[in-house]
Amino acid sequence: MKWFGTIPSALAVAVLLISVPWIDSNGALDLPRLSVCIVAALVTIGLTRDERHLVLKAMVGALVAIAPTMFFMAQPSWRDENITHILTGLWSADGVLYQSPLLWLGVAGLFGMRRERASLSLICGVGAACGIASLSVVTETPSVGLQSAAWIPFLLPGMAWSFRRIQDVASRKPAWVLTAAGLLMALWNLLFMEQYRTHLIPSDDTVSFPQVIANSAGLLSHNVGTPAAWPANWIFSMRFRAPLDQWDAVAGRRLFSDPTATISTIEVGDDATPFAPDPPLLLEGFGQRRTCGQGWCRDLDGAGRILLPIQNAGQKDFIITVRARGASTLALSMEGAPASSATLSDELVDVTLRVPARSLRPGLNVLSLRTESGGRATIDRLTLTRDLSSGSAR
Amino acid sequence: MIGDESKAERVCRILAGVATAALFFDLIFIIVTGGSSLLTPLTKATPLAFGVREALLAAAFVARFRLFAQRDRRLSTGQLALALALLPSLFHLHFMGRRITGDGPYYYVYTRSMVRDHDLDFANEYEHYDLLKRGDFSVPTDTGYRRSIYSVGPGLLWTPFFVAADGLGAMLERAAVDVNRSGYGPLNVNAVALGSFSFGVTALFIIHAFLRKHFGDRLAAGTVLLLWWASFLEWYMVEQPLTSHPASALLVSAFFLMRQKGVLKTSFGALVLGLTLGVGMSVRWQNGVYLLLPAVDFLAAAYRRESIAGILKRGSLLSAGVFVGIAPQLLAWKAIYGEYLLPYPPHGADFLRLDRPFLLNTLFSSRHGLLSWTPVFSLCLLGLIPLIRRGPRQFAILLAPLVIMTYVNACSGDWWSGGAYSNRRFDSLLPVFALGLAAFLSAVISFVRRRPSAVPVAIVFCGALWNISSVRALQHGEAPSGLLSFSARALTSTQTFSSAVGFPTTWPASWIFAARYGASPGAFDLAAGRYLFYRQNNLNGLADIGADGDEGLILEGFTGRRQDGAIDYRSLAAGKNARLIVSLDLPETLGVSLKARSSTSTSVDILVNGASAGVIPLSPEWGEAHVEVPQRLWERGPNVIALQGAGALDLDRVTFLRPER
Repeated sequence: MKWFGTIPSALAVAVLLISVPWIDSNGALDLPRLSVCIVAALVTIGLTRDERHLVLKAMVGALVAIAPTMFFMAQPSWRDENITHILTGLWSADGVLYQSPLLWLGVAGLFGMRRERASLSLICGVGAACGIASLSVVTETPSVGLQSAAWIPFLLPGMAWSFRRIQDVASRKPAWVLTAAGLLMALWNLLFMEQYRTHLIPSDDTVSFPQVIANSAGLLSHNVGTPAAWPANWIFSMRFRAPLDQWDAVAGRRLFSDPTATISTIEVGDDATPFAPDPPLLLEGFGQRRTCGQGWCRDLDGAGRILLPIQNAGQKDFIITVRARGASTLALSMEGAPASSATLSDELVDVTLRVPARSLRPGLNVLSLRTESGGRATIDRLTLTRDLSSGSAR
Repeated sequence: MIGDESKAERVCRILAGVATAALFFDLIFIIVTGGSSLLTPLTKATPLAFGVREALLAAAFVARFRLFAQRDRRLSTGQLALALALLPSLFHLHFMGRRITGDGPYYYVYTRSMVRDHDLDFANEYEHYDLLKRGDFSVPTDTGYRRSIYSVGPGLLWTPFFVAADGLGAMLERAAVDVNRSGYGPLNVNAVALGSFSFGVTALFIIHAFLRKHFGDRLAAGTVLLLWWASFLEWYMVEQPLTSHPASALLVSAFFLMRQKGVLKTSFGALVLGLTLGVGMSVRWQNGVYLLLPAVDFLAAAYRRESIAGILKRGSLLSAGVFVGIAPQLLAWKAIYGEYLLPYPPHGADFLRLDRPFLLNTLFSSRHGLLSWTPVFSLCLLGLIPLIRRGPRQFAILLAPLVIMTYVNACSGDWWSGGAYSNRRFDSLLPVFALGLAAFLSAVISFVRRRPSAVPVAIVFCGALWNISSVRALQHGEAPSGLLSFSARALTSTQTFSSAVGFPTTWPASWIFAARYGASPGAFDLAAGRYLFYRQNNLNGLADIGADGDEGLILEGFTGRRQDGAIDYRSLAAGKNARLIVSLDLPETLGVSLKARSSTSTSVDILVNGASAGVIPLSPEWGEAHVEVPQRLWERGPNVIALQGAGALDLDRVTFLRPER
């Protein structure tokens, strides 16, 4: 198998090896994923051996690419089909192109080689496109890994073409390579200067370089979005009027821990680590974490919004309970649901909003909170309850 | 008609020239006045308006100096690239750059005092900046002036800009504009900042001219751009322009270019070269190291059997130039301290300790290490190898100033350069670094041309690093499962990588540290360069375990942070040993006091650098006890304190007590 030379092909295979996670979350070999990927890779090699029966081969490729998705669709469990899931499948922090940005080279390569190797481009392009389109189907349990294992191998010829092209450009215009490397070095310096300027690191003490890298990543992500999540984070930011960096920790998130869980709790302000679950959900209107009684809370100043990533809202009412205290009235509202409000007191009280499950869209939803005449409320916790009892499967 | 140039071309050139000049002076006016524009006097220039002016200026400039310029007067691609690259820096200077910050006021007081008061008595300036109550400024010197540890050169070189701002201020006042003409106002400060910025820009163009001879126009321009944007120079041109660094870079670069052009062969050239170097020494005293180069040139001339009389004449003129150039500094010291030449730096007799170099820290420490903060300089150093191989006679001599200045910087009391962005004291070496960088880039271009497949291999390697480091972080429990922000992912992945092999820009110092102290190379970042008692921002003798930033004190053995009421602490599991690391500048007898508790053990053994230092009793309640650790157990630099106890232990803090002095 040498699509565009030995080195480019070998590198494409190397990218495939690092792009498909062979180990599952328990550290064991993920046999289904491995098998699907091997089959898809063999099919890709088989289909691209010659240029006969193009239409038939393209159809076979497409079938292989969407096979895992068809399997999921045949299952009785909950699922949803929406084109916006493709954005999450590709560019969320668990997404295929976010995890392995080098796969972009495969996509670009399939497009770039359309004149030079039209048949190869067609067969693989159809397979990859169908596979990517199949990401519009989501199930209650994360399935993108298995779905992608079936179509990533179709990017192999594209990656090989891109690597050969890079090799050609490097030999003809080596200064371009240096320019790219130089720009990265300048970017490192620019971000370092910015964090020094804004006192993200001490001005006269030792610093932790992992922290410097994290600060730089944070600045980059906040200002232009995480490059590996482009363009989904831009779309998200425009759609929800949210900071670009919020996409990474919220897109594709599942608030309910497993398909059978009916309650999900979001503790507000409890976790002070960089991995705290609540900050990515908070859009605007919330203050820094602070103590409240025995625990930790955040203040809501006037009005605020919270992102709620929900896959399956159940069949009946979806109940949102906000535990808060303060001296005014707190009103909760969500698109498609009548607003609900309650008067707060010095003690923590629950304010509940019932939303018809059908009016929640699978994916990101926005909960709006507003206090009467711009007063302050202290938010301790959000509890989400869904009802799966009366057969929520589709 | 000039040559085959058409009338239309001439008209276009004139129009483009007028537009360039108008837009350029308007930008200057905006920066100096803090936002007022000559072109739109009714409104202040917003970032967008500034950006639009810059875009128009770029277009007009390209038209004037490239498209419609006479063939023999066209700017080269490299020069054009450098000129256009100025625009984002100007934006940065105007909208984000600071002015009176860091060392800025201490240099600026020279300018104001010289122009306004015609003296070097800074009492009124220090009073204005609320510095007069500071210990070292509150007491007059022998001459009745206030002391300054800063050089006179930058302040002297800024005076034309200060005076120009005064002129502008007078004009604006006549036009009924309210202007602060005290000399402390934004008009003067901005003008001086812009002046300092212009020194840096001129230095870059001079370095470009200097490199062009050896590496061609484009590679020279690429080198200069990289050195500018990937080093501390950009910071000191736009963020803290009121420092000596742009002026120093300018004078040293001019010295290198003149020397390259052979000015030393003429009497006048020798005088000018000496003057340049002398003024350079007034800006940064260490620039005197470069006297070595003309000295070698004269020796080489003598070796070539040139006229001894001529050499002596030029040598004398060079010396005279140096003397004239450095005279302002001598006069300033005479005025402030009563002596023309100080026996030791005004910072103090112990500021420069030539027997105590902190070489690894100066280059690799996370406290403003030159190579760790600005790794572009590593490429510069690597490039010196092919450079010297290429022309050993021409370039090997550059190793001398490189080694001497590096050594001097490493011997400075605060080898980390105080509150600095990277190790700014290496500014005098920028022309040497530029040569190295250009040679490195040239070598890489040849390599890539020969082995183009190395590029996709490098790309796949980076991709693998992105994936594998993230997976390793998950496997090691450094990262929680679930979605992470880009910042959190970067933190956990880099932490995992750094713990295993050290952060790349700290290599090999972090490996040496790890081997010496049996620790993770990642521990080098926070531990190397943080002192118990030495100089500014030291720990003041307190290792506060459980508090923010204690990671730099812990080598191994402790749990995560815990809290007991108001006490933040960490624990040590039963049967385990824990190690702390603290740095000393001077070994001395210290009391080591532990605030700790233990419900399972009655004492803990303290080992300092592997030797037993005593036993501290413990009780189930928080208590504090101490042992006296003799000087012989301590070492200069990092010291490892091991706690060995059979039972579990909670540790709140370790206090190091110096003997009464």
